[in-house]
Amino acid sequence: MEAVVLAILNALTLISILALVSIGLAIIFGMMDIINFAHGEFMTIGAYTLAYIQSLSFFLAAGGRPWTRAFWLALIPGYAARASGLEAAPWVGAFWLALMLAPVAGALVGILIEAAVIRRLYTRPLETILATLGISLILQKGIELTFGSRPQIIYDPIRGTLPVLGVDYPAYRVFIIAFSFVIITVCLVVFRNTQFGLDLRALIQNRDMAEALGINTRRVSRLAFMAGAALAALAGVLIAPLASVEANLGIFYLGRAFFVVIVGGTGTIAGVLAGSGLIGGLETALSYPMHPSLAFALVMITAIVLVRLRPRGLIPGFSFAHELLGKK
Amino acid sequence: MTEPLLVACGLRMNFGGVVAVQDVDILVESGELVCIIGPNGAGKSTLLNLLSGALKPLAGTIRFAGTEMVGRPMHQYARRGIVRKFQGASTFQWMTARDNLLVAGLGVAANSSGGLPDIGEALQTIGLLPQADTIAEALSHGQRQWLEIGMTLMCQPKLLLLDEPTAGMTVEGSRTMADLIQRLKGRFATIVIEHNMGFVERLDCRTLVMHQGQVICEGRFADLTQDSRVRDVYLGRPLRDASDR
Amino acid sequence: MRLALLFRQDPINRGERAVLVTFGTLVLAAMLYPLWASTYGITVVRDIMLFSIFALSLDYLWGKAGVLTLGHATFFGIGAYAMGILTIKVGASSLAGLFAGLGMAAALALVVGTFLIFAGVRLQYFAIVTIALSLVSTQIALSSSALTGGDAGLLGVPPFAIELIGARLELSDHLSQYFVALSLVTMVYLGLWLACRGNYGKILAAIRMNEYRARSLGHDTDLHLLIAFVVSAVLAALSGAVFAAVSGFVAPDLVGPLLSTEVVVWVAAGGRGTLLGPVIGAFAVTRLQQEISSIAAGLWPLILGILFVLLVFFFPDGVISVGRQIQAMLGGRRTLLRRQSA
Repeated sequence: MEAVVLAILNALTLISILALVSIGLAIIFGMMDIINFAHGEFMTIGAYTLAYIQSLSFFLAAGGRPWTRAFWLALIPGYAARASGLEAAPWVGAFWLALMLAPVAGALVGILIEAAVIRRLYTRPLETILATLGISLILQKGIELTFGSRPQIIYDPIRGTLPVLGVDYPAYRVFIIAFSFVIITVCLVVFRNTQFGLDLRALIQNRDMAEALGINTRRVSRLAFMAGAALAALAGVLIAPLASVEANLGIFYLGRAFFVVIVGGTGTIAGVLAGSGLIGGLETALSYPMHPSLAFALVMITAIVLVRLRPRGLIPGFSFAHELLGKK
Repeated sequence: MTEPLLVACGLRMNFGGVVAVQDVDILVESGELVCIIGPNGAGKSTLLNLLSGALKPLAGTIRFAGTEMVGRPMHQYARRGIVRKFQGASTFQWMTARDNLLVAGLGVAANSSGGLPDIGEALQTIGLLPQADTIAEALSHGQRQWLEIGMTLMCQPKLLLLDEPTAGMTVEGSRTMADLIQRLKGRFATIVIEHNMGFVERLDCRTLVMHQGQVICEGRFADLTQDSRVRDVYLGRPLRDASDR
Repeated sequence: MRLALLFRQDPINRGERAVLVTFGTLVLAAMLYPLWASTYGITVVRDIMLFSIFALSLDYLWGKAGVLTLGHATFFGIGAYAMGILTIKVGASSLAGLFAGLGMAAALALVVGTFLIFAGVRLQYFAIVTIALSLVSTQIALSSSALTGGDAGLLGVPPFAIELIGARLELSDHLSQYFVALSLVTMVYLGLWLACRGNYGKILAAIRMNEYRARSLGHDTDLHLLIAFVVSAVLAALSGAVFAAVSGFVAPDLVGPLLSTEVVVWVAAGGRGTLLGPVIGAFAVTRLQQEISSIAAGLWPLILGILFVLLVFFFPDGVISVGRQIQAMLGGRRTLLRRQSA
């Protein structure tokens, strides 16, 4: 019984992270049927924001003329990160600051990508794949060149365990689950109950009609893109203490996120939750009896089978491709 | 008496909760020309989708030349002789008119014992001989409509399904189209969906009127124009009871 | 299916003659290259020629049939690993390794293709699934160390050897390997060129432009796409198997997403659908990669990324389209510039 609770909690942790990363992807995919291959990089940016702030705090704590040093170090983010490894008590506030700043960073990079690339390609889905693939390579390498190729050192912001349903579970993971739950609930409320959410849903169903009805589709798309990037960055901050923070952090989650979106159905948050539940749950369950990479492979194969059986996803959204294929 | 070419019975199709086609029966003899008219949303295009294999009906059968067609893949319909011209022009944009016709003919010709119809002749029939080597993208909308007709002819159809063939054409073009269809009558059967009443009148054939997924009456076009039910349907008035008349 | 009608061709026109002449010139240059090149140079060009076959296989699938795959290296890797495993671990002949690779690639393509294509999975969805394919293959290659050598791969793949009635023909020296690679790429190019220039090529083009319409005109588009997928997989495996046998090693990056995206760049940079373009693209981009890697190791992915973005925005039809545009300008005729979407 204890093992089951443990497994469920582990699954929930993964599902929470996957959901945060996938919401942005699902909305964009649902809105414009384009795939942003650089979406994983938002997550990486979030994680590196945390690494950067934490390493900055070391220098602040190291004494001397901290503020001037911090000023110069802020200009050369990599320097601080590379030189971290000094033995000093990490400033706990770094995590909470990162939690606030990372979404901003993600949104900024997101708006840059959207303006420079995606906006010009939104009627050409396959070109978008190629262009965003290029961008993801550029971003990854850029991060690696700035921060160095060694994994960043991240300190746990919350130590200790909490008793959950009779099991002592790491408090930090409980935080992840709770925090994600709050964020996703907010997303759902925005999606279902606000004007913006209504405009978004209209856009997803029929872009031309939405525009004809006077909805500023470009503005809505842009905002949705930024929001998705911010969510992914948030996920990056959350996962950073648990994962190896390297330049290619985003790729692993991107792969899973794609299948979450495809299996769950594009264009709806409910679909994202369904997909995350399935992919996250399955992967967690399978990683007990077998090697995790094999579990990953099996989940991929299952997802492919599901795509075949239900090409419109578990909770079908609206998408160009299905119109294109003549499927009704 | 031989069996009609097309015998479709009890066809039904829903989209979500909307009934698009409801218990429709259609009979078409070899070489016969039939028109289907009706207000928007009557289910005419859906019916054509069902007859051409683009959609699978929820219920009903479609017997064509003695064979049951429901459930077969769409390309089989064309190979057996049911060929459709789409609403709007759906051509292969970046290929020349000549190549468009070639590809159209190959689908059927490469899988049957007959030969490929003469492309030059097809170009002549649709009046695009001077544009033979122009890319479809560069043709005008009306010319593309004609190219589409040509493409369907290249498939050596036994039953031609035309979905609003005069849409976007000039009056002159519609007249030429009507003449062409009259000329081809007898060579193969044709079902025409149209909104252009002048065109339908010119064709002067058996006409069906559809409304809200059902066929409410049929007869010669001249007779139908007198029918009060048809007028009601087009003017949006509620259908009067049969006892009312 | 009446094959005669399917492959009927018109006589060669002027534009095609120019293409053939260009190709012939390249072949001639390749034949003369060993006269002044070093052994190292010969092995480099030999490898690039094998990569060209890989590029051609993708161009057939993507450029001609319109199916983008981001995991094509899966099939290249299957060919390479089959050759490596059978000749090293099992001790079988090179031919056995080759046929095993071709067979396995064909089988996988048949299974995955039937599964997806006949379900109507297309466009981006298909592309994403193929990525998953290459990720899964990479995982398998990395984890079954006993069979595949894991992270390090397999070393010491014996050179390609054919035994016929007692006589043994072995391709152990660089020159014979070079010329075998050259003849293979020539045959594959001419084969694809011939197959795609007649009615068959036009059918593929039509499917690429408007699959639904093609289907409504009687073409079994699912079958055509499946055939293209399987043939392309077999050609990719061919290049992979020969690559393993001449270079002597097999590694997991031969099956992974990086090589899969690189081959897309080769084809896109050269000119998708032109067959000749991807060959040139493979040469140009691979040489670029080698130069950059020698200057600054690890910088290549950044340049590759920039290349991708440039290609999409400035050279969507590849470098070869520049040649065509110059030709059109010189010719003075008003030609409609072909702009296809991916």
